[in-house]
Amino acid sequence: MSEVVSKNMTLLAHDTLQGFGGIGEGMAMQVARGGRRILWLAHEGPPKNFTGVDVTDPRKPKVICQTELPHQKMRSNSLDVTGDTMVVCYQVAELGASPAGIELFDISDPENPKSISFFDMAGPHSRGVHCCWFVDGEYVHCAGGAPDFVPRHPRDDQIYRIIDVKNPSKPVEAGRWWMPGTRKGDAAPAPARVRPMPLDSLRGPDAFRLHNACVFPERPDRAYLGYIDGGAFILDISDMSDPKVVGSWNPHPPYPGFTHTVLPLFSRDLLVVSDECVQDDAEDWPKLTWMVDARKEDNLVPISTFPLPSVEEYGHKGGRFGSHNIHENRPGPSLRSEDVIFGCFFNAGVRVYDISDPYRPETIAYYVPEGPNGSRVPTAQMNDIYVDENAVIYSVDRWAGGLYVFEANI
Amino acid sequence: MTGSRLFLTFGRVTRPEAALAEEGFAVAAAGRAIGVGVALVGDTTPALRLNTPGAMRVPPELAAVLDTRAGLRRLCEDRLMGGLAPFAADARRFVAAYLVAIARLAGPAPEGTPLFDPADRYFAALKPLGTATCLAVTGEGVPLPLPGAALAEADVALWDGKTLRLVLLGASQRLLPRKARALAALEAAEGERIKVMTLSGMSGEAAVEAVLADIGEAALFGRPPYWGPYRAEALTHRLPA
Repeated sequence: MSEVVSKNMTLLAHDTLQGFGGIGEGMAMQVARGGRRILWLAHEGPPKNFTGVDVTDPRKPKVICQTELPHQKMRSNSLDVTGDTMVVCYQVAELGASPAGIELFDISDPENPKSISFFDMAGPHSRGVHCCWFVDGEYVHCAGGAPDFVPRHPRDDQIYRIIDVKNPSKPVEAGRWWMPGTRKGDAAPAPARVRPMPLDSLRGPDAFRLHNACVFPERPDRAYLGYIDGGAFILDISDMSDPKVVGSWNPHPPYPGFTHTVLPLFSRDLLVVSDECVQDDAEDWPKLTWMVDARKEDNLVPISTFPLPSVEEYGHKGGRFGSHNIHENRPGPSLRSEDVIFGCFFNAGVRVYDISDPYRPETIAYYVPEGPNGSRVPTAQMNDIYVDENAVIYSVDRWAGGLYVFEANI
Repeated sequence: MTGSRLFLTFGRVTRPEAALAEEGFAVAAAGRAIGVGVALVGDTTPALRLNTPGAMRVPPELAAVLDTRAGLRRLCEDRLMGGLAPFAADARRFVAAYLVAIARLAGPAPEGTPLFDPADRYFAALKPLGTATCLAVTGEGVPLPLPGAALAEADVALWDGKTLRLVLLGASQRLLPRKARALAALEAAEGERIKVMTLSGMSGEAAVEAVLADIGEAALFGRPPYWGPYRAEALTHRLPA
């Protein structure tokens, strides 16, 4: 098992979530009645759906709720919370299976989440929903298939869908967008595959589909999309029924693909764009986090990348090594800094960067936990991260380690 | 009066220590209050204005071809906006709105009037220092290396001769613990000499109006004569604040 390595960060607590410590990419904080703080976590895979952890005292996290998936050939992976409403994503292993879509829950009683509604996104060419963003209580922005969307390539099934949930009992689609050329019948040609992969599994790389979509109250007319091998897109969603591209940037190829998150820094006219490492043992190295000059939306210019340890140090320690999720300055009980970026980098742990000078991001803190018991790899695989308004850092392991709570000297 | 001095860096400076070691010493040695990216403020330092010597560098060959007051104002705007850090979007919006506001308050620069009109108070407006850092120092000299944790930061700073206003805009509202501690320490040490204005969710125009209302027109432009864009250095400390 690998050992702890750290700088300027302290572990406050660690909880393996009752033995089900494999967490995906859904982390959201609810401030419940009475001021209780519940961190909701979506599991990476079956058998569990989501877990609620009381982190009112972040040094003493306590599981208060843990639910089961309907069956074993699906995963939730992502969720989000606004107020007392939670949205959970369902993605299935096989095209056409169900349930595939998003389920809305009333979590006003956190110990007993109640289903409000389900928006079905199943279809013959759909795997359902991989990731969602829900911060305004009105719209869910998600990467989802659709019964009426036929992709040219089977991995390009999850497009950008905007679901109106102002009436949470009756979600309706407000709009959708896909990368031109990826739908059967598009006038645009199909995009050239960046790293073609066999189709024995639909998971993983070689995809032109949405991963993360972020929309912020500062610019409700803009959606920031990480479109995997399609790169980064900025869409004008002032008319949600007809999103339009205003800017895009794609380093793939020559880089190995998988643009994951596009985080706008509105006070600085910058974007932080993260890739996702999706293969073990540095097979898809380098997977980077980029700083992009966004002073002109229609002319995005990369200006630096975030420093990482060397591939010779971390590439073959076991598991994945490279970029993935960053703290997205989410509205709500969340830290919103445009000078410091928090990210998780699989076996390179949780890393904190000072971007005061965006031409030279500087690592100011990191924590690489020891490899957890019961994991399929010998290292911790830090998979997602959330920083609350008190700068308490929450991060999760992809396979077994569960929830880690840190503070950093920043 | 606190007896301490305030060292400020601003604009394109990304390494305050280097800026102070280079330009800061040069400014102090010349007996000035402001240079490129640095300012040194003490209890008796007059307000930092657009026409404070050292605040705006204009090569003589450029000055020679500027033959209208409107041209001088455009030069001032260009120097101010061009001196901002490239990714200081909040500061940029504030300074752009500030320039519009002071032009409105100062009145137009009519064509055909003398190039240097002592009545034109535009250039006497306080100089906004974008993306500023501030360190309070007691005693002689500059403490190098700088105590990094002690640098307070603001999107915009303005010194009116008595008060240093530190304006926080946009996302800088959610200060990191280290930055919040630095600001709190500066406020505690300097008392009324520091005023932190936390303006959240405001447009550039609204933030400027809030700051100008706090400063007041009298302090914003000072008292006449206003001296135009080039205030004679020898007269600096005998002019009214």
